[in-house]
Amino acid sequence: MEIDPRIEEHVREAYRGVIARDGDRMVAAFRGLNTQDSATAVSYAVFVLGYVVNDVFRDGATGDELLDLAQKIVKSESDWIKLHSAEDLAAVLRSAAVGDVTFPGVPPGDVIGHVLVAGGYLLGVYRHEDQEWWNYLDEVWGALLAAPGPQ
Amino acid sequence: MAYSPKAVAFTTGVAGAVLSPNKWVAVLFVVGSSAIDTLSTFWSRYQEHRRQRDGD
Repeated sequence: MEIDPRIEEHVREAYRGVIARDGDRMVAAFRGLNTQDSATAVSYAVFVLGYVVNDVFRDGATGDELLDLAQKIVKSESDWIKLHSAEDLAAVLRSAAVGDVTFPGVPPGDVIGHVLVAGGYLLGVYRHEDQEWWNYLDEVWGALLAAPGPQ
Repeated sequence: MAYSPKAVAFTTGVAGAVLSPNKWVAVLFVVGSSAIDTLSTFWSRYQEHRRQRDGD
């Protein structure tokens, strides 16, 4: 599958904002994208989140495990952003992990922010040994590029 | 780097749907708003919460 490098750079910049705990930078990363490109950027971020959750929980995550992870994220990020609730965030993690892009039960206005903050957190915390977070992001894109396109 | 089988299965199984946002991502944008507006509102709301919490 293909990745638009121009849009990917915006997503990467959003993660830079998250990891720097700079919400203004996270928001500004979407500046200059039109509606279609913004939608693509959000879809890339959802893909990253789903991929990493599946990479972290290699036997599949239980509901309790996702809630535990969500609680860790909420607590870890609480000094710069207050995420709505661990339950909502766990629902976002679950949806992303199974590709349910309707995000049932999560307030729509919270989904994009949760996806970006959780994705940045997971890239930073669960990067593999000898990786920086951006190397892990490159790995995710590498897996996507290697995958066959839709039939 | 060996990719984890579950992550690869995710990639091959659902990535096509996730990366076809036309039909789904619009619901994530507040009506009449854009992604950056939605995200900005998200961020602003929590900034306000923090100001109130800290008594600024």
